[in-house]
Amino acid sequence: MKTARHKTAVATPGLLSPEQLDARILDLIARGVDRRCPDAGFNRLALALFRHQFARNTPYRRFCLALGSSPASVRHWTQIPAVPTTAFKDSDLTTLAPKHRSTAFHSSGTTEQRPSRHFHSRETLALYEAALWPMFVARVLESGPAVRDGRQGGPRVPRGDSSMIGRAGRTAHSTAVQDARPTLVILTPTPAEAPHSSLVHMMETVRRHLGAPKAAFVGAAALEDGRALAKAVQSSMLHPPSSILLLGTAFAFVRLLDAVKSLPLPPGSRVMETGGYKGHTREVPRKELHALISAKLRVPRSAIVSEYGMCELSSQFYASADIGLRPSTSGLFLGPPWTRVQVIDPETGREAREGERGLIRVCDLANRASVIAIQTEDIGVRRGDCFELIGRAPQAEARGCSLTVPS
Amino acid sequence: MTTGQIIAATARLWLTPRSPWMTRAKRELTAFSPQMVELGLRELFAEIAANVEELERREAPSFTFHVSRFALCHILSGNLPNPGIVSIVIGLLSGARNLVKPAAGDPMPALFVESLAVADTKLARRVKLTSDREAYRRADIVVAYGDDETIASLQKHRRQDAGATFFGFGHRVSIGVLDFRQSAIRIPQSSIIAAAARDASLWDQQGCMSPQCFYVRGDAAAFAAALAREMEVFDRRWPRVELGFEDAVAIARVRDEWSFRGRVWASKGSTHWTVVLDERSSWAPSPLNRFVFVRPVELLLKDKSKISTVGFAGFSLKEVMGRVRADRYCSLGEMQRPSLLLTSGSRPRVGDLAYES
Repeated sequence: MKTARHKTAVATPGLLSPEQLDARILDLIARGVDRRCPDAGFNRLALALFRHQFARNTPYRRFCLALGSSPASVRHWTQIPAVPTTAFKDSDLTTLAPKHRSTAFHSSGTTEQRPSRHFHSRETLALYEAALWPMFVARVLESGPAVRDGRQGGPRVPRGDSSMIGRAGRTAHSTAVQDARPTLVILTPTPAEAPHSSLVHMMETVRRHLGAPKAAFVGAAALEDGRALAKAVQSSMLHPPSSILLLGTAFAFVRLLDAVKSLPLPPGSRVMETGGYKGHTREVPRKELHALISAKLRVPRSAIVSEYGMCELSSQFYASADIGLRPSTSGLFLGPPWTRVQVIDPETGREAREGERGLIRVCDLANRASVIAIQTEDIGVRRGDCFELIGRAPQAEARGCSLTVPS
Repeated sequence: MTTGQIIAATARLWLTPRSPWMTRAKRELTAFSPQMVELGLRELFAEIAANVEELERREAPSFTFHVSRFALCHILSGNLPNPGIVSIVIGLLSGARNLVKPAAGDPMPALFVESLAVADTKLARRVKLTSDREAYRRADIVVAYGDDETIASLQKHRRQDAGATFFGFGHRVSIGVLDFRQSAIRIPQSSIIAAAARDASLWDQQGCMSPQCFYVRGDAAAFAAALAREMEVFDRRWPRVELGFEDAVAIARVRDEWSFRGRVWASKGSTHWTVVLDERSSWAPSPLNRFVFVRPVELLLKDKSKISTVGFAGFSLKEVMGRVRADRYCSLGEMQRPSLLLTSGSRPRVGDLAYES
């Protein structure tokens, strides 16, 4: 019966099949991450995805209809009803039939809370991975000082399967590049320990692209103890002159930094931090955390990158001291061209003016099998194409990536 | 004149047309719109003017006509003016010296004492305002209003002083219970809806007697839709104050959450009022500022604790009392008009504060 409905939906005039949608999204991803997607093209694909999700995602369709919205009334991506992230706790917000749900990403949360569940099929997981890698390359591996002698600036790395990731996915096989490959250290549980963590899956995807060993993950046990974390980082530095690519949650970094007076990383090393604290450690404002990382790990500020993502999204946003090579965007989060961010004025429900605070709303075209318009509980300020992340809205439940660390 | 008579005269100063005290309160009490301040304070002072002498007769022992040497400290929360003013009134009736610590930025205690001085300078001198957070340490009796944490902290420290008496009034919530079936009520449904909207809107839902949820027998969705229309009507006449960013975010966030989980009716282009129909859970905290839930009465849990007031319509008092325990039961529409003559668990009795001198 489900298959029959599926076939009927595909046959609906104007409704693209999942395969057609995936092809269009992958085509957009293949154009690279530095060119803004023209509004008309973004809007066309967003509306096609909305029609698809309205037709196949039953709870979302009910939600839209309750708001008086349907494909007949929505003409622009900004009109697509955005679901609150909490809706992923309440319903299976997916276009996928149960038998096609091969992966479920869960939000971190306390055991009393029902987590968000974001389902993926093999195809949409491939889309997720295709979307994350070129952004990671451009924002984490290639941002920072332009000098690339192996000791300054970003480490040179192979870029993986070009058929999957297009321009940013060109494979580099030169011996020089292989030699300059950084040593990857991931301050999270292993994929086996956190099979439902989108963050850990992202880290695993990065690990595979970089050809790093599985031991790059420090694992859940080490995350319990700052000294164990320090030991894991130190042991990765046994083979100079390799630089270190150190990835982890803000909570893990605080635990690590609290345990060491100084732990200088080799020149050319880079750091990516993400997520919050969720009561695991003392909370440290991002600027202060970066200052601590810079001071104790001897990594220049320009080599420290912040990531913003959540299990309800399939794309990530990055901020660093020099993102986009424009001084005006320093410290601001920038997403890939297949996303758009709005900052919503909580009083009026309309888009806030440039420079004013509001709630961050993301339109993520890589969210093919769930809902592309997501209303977050995070407060931000829109600054051009970027946004400044202020923090979590008051009264919001503690949730996010950092709780993948067992308590 | 007795203390009660002086206080009644003071209340009448507030009720006269173009009362300078009311004018100042509307200007200085910026936590609410001027229209809301006027409506709320008129009701408060009308009640005081009507019943303070009867309260004196019922609750104040004869010796309170003497001046007590005991010091009574009032620690006020400032979320709305009523509890503080009533606290000062019963403190004066008890004969004690009153040391009042208003919440930061709350102008009402000072305005009330100024108006009291016009009626009787000598009685006004029995009230001293202080900004000293430690004032309660010098008092023989402490009456404190605030969040549970503050009350617990004050009580803990107070207990260390032998002989002191402490009355704490912490966080509580209120609810409405009503039968919305046409056959069940003898008054027009429109009156029920207007009464509910009034209870949920007055003082922008900041008091512990403000309902956060209405439990409905009958068509809860129809009641929610009708309540929403009436909340809009109330807001046009007595607008809610404009909120700061954090309060607006709290409302927006909960609206977003319930837009998926339940059904939301909300003011257009603002956070002024919100009605949420929730047919699944028994309780969820409201972000306040005129944000009210509507639920089927079957979801009302009998053992819900910390209920201040239950406003009801279409149910008998016996049936309501059988369904939920509370300090006070009243008709819908009267939830925020507590009688001065009843303590309702929201203040001590005058006699509790009276020490024979």
